[in-house]
Amino acid sequence: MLFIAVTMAFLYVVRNNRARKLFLLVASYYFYAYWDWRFCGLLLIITAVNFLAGLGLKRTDHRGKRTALLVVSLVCSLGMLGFFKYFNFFVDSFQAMVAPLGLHVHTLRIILPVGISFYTFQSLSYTIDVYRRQLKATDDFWDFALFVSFFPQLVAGPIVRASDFLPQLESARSLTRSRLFLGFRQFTYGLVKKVLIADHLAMVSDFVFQNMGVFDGWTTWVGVLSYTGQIYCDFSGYTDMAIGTARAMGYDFCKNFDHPYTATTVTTFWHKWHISLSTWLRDYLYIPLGGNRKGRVRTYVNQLVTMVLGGLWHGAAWTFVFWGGFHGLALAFDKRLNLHKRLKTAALPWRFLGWAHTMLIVVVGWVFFRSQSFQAAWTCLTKMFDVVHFNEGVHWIALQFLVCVPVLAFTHAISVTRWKNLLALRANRWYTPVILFALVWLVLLFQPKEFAPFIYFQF
Amino acid sequence: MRVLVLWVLGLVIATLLVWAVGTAGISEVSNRQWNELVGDYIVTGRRSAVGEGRGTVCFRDDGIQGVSGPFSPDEQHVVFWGDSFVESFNVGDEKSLYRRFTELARAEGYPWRAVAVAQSGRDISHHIHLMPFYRERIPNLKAHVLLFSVWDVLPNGRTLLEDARPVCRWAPRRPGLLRLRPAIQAYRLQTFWELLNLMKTSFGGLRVRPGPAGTATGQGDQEFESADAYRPFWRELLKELTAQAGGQRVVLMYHPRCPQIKRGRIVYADDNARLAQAFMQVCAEQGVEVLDLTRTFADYTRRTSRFAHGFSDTFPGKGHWNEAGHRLIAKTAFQYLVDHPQPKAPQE
Repeated sequence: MLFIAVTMAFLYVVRNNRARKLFLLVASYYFYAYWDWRFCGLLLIITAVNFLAGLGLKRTDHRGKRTALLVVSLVCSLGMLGFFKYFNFFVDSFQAMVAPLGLHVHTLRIILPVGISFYTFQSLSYTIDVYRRQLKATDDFWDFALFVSFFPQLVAGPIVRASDFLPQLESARSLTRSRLFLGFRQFTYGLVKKVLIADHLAMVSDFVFQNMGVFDGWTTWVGVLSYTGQIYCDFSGYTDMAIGTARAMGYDFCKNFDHPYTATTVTTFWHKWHISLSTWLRDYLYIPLGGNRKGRVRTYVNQLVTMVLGGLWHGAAWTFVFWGGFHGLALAFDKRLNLHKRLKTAALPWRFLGWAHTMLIVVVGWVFFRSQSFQAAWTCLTKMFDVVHFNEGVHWIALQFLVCVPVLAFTHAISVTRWKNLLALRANRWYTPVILFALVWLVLLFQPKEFAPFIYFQF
Repeated sequence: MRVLVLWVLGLVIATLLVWAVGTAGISEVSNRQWNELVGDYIVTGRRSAVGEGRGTVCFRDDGIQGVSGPFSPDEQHVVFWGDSFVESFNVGDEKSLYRRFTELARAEGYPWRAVAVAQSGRDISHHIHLMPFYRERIPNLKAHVLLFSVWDVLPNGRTLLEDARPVCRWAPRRPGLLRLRPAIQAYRLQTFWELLNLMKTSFGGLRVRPGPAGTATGQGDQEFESADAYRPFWRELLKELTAQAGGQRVVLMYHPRCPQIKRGRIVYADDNARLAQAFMQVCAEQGVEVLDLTRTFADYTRRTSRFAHGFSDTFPGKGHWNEAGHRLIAKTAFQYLVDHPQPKAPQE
């Protein structure tokens, strides 16, 4: 909090744009170094590789050279990501295959750099856009470095596009009271989501998932629904804090979540969940693979491949891959039945059924996402859907679940009604400061005793 | 300027609002300390904030805790001693152990009435010092029942002669007064200072850190010395306990922290069983009656898949006794006194 306060104070005192940007760059690297200074070098390498690739692409029209530059950028960036994040995963998987032959392959002790998935994708999007001539490469290394390392979104997104952010860096941003208010408001909402909801639900979901075999069906559902709430509030909470902080500094990021649990189809869900990642996958993976332009079957395959790789992006484990594939199949099913378009104009009962079907898929998917293994996921699903033994086991309906999930459900439900702006506090209302400060007090009063790291820090 | 004033006012109003709501959940009780010269408890001038849901077994004006109304000459009294467990932390007074015991006794036709002398953090050495006070003031005392865990029988770096009497949290006569009404009636400055303290500590403690923060680890299991190291202390403790009881019956009841959910299964074994068994052995040698509630709790969990510890806002099996736990202990104590109307002979 002190870090943010000092940064904000500097920005409000110093008006010179260059000075501000340099300060933000230093602050961002300090922010990253606070975790582990050794990986600032990695951040710098990825920044430099993509910046130089962009410069090279700007200076040549030769197709072969341009392709080579793009390949260099892809290999370096994805290579780094692959090594740090997936080396041991692939080694372990290979080891499992060759173990019956008596072979043994050693893994390495590799630290996963925080945020590597995010800033790698972010810088790659720049190079690809420059290659496609959709974006003009920048000559300013410091601007580009700031774009890659900007601390509010460095470690857990959103994955900001260069075309959105670089133009904002060109001119001094006016820091108005309105921006400060909007930023503070969004930051507070994010803090509430993270500390009051996500961290409390985490206590429930962690305990249930760690001791899955003991509980009855009801408690298992409580644990899974708690995780469903936790992951949304944790991630969107962080995003809100990131977007709010950036806004207060004068920079605008796009929304990353749009009440995803109101979606009536899986397709709509992915339009509302982690929007920056799903659009990145769409623009840089799905469409280059052919998108929906190569026939129905190829479309389904493209969707499946995109989602499998999206699952793998989240973590180096087969459960994440399965989760991605599971959603890929659900998307293919949506596409096959044209659910997305049909439910847009359908009557309420059908849309409700669509919502229930989507929530079921999402919730089942989270079981795989959260579980440490397929065995654990299977145990969980068995407990959830075994009607014969549903009441067998320890019964625990946690208070945190009873309070937090209805609050979350309410905020989601209200977003699809005409009262959706009810929760958007306006600056000119007398009660706005009262409510915001009361929320901050609630965060202080009800913060859990143990600090729960943001889930998406591990990606 | 107008905007600044609006926001400052907003902060003040929000603080007052939160404080006002907080007073509904926090009550103040006065602290009293035993004064040897006066021979009674006197007000220390300090007050404690007791959170809603915390048990505070109330005091009468004469300093007797854990009973309301006068003593009847037709009744026999059983005094339950303990810490926050017996103080019925998070359990309503009407569901607490001592009320349950009295109801059970009445239902079965026994003229027994339970008195609960308990406060958070106390152990057996505290009870020893308090015993003469209650012994002299409670008529027809049938038995002292002391509920203990292994932590309550450890030396704790303090000898039996030190720190004679603990400070008592002196709550009003009726537990109902711990709720909203006195909060509205009284000016709860204590709560306001607590909020300010919370703000001071929380802004340092609440860190939306740049990097991944280490998750705080839960309390590790305490390392105990071997039972043999404690035996001399236990013999002294029990000797002093018996002496301070002045010939009145003493029954110790061991309450373990089990069953618990650990590593994906229900663990029925008590982590501290070895130490507890060693202490109970010394009790038997000294002729002090002792009961072990391990099996009582385990049977309850096996039968119902529920736990005698824990609430909806805690993990099952962890924390203080819930209503079921209080009921089980009351029933066990009652049944024991029915089955053994006289003290057991040593080594029985």
